[in-house]
Amino acid sequence: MILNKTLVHITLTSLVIMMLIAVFLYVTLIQVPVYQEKSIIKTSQSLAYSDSNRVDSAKLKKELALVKKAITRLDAKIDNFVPKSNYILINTTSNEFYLYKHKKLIRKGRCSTGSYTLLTSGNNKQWIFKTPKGKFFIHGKTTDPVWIKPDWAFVEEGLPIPAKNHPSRYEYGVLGDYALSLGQGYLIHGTLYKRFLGMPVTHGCIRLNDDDLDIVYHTLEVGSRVYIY
Amino acid sequence: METEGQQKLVIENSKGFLKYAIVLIISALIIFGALFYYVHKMNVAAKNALNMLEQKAANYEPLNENGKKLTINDQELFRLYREKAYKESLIAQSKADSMGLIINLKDSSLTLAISGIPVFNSRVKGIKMPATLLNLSPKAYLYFFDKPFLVDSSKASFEKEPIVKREAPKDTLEAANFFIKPDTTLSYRVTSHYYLKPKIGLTIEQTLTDSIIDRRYILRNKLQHFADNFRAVVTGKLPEYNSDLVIYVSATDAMVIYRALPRKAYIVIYPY
Repeated sequence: MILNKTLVHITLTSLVIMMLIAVFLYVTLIQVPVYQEKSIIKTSQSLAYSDSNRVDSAKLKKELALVKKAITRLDAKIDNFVPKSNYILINTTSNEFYLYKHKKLIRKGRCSTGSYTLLTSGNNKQWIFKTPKGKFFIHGKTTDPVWIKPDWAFVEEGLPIPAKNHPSRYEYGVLGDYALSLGQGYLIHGTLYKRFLGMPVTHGCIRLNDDDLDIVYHTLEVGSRVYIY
Repeated sequence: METEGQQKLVIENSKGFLKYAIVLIISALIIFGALFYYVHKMNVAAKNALNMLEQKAANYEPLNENGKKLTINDQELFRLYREKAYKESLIAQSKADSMGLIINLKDSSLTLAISGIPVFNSRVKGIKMPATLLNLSPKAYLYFFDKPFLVDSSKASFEKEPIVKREAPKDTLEAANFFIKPDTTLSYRVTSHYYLKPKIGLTIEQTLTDSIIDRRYILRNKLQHFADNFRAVVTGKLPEYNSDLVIYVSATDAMVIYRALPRKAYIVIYPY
């Protein structure tokens, strides 16, 4: 008898507690945001400008015409933003490029950009391999480029750093048929490692496959814009 | 026939149950009372958030095309002034030489732009617009949206620069064995928050699905928000109304946008 009574009490208490928790969670997590939004709508001042306050129509028409004219002026300015010359976009997150000629997309494909590797050597020197972001220009164009290996290329390979003009610094054929310079040592060039295109694996340069590089090289001029993001 | 002893037991039982029921009812009343108080405080917080936005614009005097004080009392006029504000904002943003973001919710698009040139476009897959933004007065609307917002700070569930540290190899043998395979798989929810000036919160995150991970994520967020607000109410403070503008795009696009934007980027918003 006593056991039954206790069981009934425990069951009832559990049920009531569970119900209260359910109501509490429902109200706090689901209903409160809805109430909040409704309370804002009720008190909003934006309703004060409703059409009941309408100004006389002649004045309004004049005002509307003036704003429309201003918008047309602004549209003309905005249209001039897009360059008429050829340019290229580089997406470093998805490792893709988009080549534009006369405002039209003429080629898109995969590329490789900086790996974001931070290389540190024993003598407290460090290099970060990332492709810079922002607006750049083509500074120069070369055919059959030769890679003049910088210090990090030797450090990365576990080799001693040679003198500045040492023959081991010159590597032929590794940059593909063409290179377009973006300044500060950054290039758009070809690659031997085509299987890595579409991945962030470079030391900061932008690598393209042979066909894409050919079109990019012949479309962009010195001074053409390069947008990297 | 019940004996006297049995009758006493029944009476004692009913008294016990009555006491028990009273305790339960009082507890329920206390909980409901607390709940109503919480709801009331949350509503006050929401109204307060809108009032604060309106107050920021209190001293702002927009001018019309003739250079006179602007009074917007017509829906069409307000629509045109919103469009004009957006375009002025775009022009102001184009003057910065760094990457900026254009949020055009009328076109459901997010665009990265440098010097006004669109370089990346993402389709918006969902929007959560706070009522505070939807119910701004025309004056306050123009105050906030006729120029780009400046990112004050930002954070995300992923690195802005996914840097991998590497010690220089000791010799060519060690170098030959080393290769970092870039990790391109996503094992987390992509979400990024931007705290803008003037004070508006912006969240750009990957589209929510019905997956368990996403449900857990939503629940965790709601519980966290509730816990913060409950703490504020209990300590006598006003809870914070979540007035973030939330935009859902694909995971890759959310990452591209966060990583492409400089830390102090300009963001143009065209909400409606």
